[in-house]
Amino acid sequence: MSEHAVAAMMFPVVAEIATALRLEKGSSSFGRLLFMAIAWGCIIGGIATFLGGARAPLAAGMLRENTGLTFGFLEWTAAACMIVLPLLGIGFFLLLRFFPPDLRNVEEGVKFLNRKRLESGRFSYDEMLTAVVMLFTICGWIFFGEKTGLAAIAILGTAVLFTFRVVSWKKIEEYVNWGIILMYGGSIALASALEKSGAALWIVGKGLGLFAQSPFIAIMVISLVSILLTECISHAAVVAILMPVGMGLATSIGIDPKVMTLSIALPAGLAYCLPMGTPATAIAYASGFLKSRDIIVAGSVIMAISWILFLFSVVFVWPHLGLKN
Amino acid sequence: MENDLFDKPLKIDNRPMWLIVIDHTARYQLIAGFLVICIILFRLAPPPGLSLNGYHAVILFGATIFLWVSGLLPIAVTALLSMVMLPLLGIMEAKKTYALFGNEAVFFILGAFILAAAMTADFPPGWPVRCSPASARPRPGWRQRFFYCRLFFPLS
Repeated sequence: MSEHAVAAMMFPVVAEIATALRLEKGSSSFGRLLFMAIAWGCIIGGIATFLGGARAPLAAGMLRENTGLTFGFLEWTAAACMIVLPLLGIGFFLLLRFFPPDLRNVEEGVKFLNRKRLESGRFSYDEMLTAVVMLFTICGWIFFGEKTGLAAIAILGTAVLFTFRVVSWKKIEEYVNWGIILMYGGSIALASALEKSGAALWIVGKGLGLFAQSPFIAIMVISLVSILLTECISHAAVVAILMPVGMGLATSIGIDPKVMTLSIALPAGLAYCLPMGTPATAIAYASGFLKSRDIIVAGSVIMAISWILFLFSVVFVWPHLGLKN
Repeated sequence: MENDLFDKPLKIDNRPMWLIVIDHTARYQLIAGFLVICIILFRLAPPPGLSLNGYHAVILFGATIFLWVSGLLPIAVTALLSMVMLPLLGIMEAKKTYALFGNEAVFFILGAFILAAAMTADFPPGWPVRCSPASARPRPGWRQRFFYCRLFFPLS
């Protein structure tokens, strides 16, 4: 699921827990910890697969349009997990360090979680069917994605849901972000025009010529630009802006276009520092427990660690997955 | 009637008229300025080493970035606008441009969004809670950390 959908789903649950534990806004460190856990959990987990947000499929689509190369579901996940798994551990302990628990007793919160689970009851037929379809779709992406294409499997999965009347079209209309889908088509057409007219290569030659001396420096610069830019504008827009330039850069200095795609799309999902960077942080900020300073200071530290971990993966891990720069 | 008047007191803007007009039309002035700059740039000759089509594509790309970052238009509208400008400015054929909209990535994300929407619509808000470990009883000193852990990891 996309990170902002998970954050939106979790917000009322954590807000109720905070109320049950009588956590005070502005002073409770444990309250800050819980809401920051929503934001960071969603952001870090969101880059792991194609499903975490709009940027990964957009980047993969642009890569395919420009070079004909494709990313498998598992290939993307394997490359991203080398950053996600260590980040989860580091993020967990870093949050504990920044916001040490100031609560003696969490019994009320535990009771609330257990009550919530009991209220949910057993999985209904529709829920089970949705979970099964999702599982089969993900397996389909992993095992047949390269042969049949990811889109065909995704559409087949949705057809099964509608066949068994698990969801109604009206409900889907409310939940789907149609604007992002429209943005995709437009961005891909523009990127293709930049590439085919030679403009992308020209931009790289003029703007990034200084950094095109070594592939690693080029990756360092483009990933840094991506991770900084994503704090101010939407993840998908960062990908749409940087991918045409990145593809030109990859061609001019001989970097594997897949490495360049990951170097743009993965950092583009790691917006920790500003509430406007990603809906997950905005939702956590909206709780009233967090001040901007809390988010910016802790966010800057995890952002720096994420970038270093990313570069570490590029140099030491990705070559073992067949992704050489 | 009197109560209504006090509930919604009339606010009088005492600033000079020209300042009020500038203030209220700032967005349109920005758009007009943006359009003028784009037209001037389009009429210039391309820099050496870049074809005319490439030059126009660079300007369109810059204009799109400006609109995305400034938020003058919604992101989707900006992307669609940049797409229709490609054939209008002669950068790419209309048939080819609109064919690119039917990219596989668009249909993949469409399918993935529908599947995710079904998950969101079908599952109650507490589904990540369902996935959290329930029966473990950690040592008292670790309870707060474990409780936070129950929320952090299912989220990711």
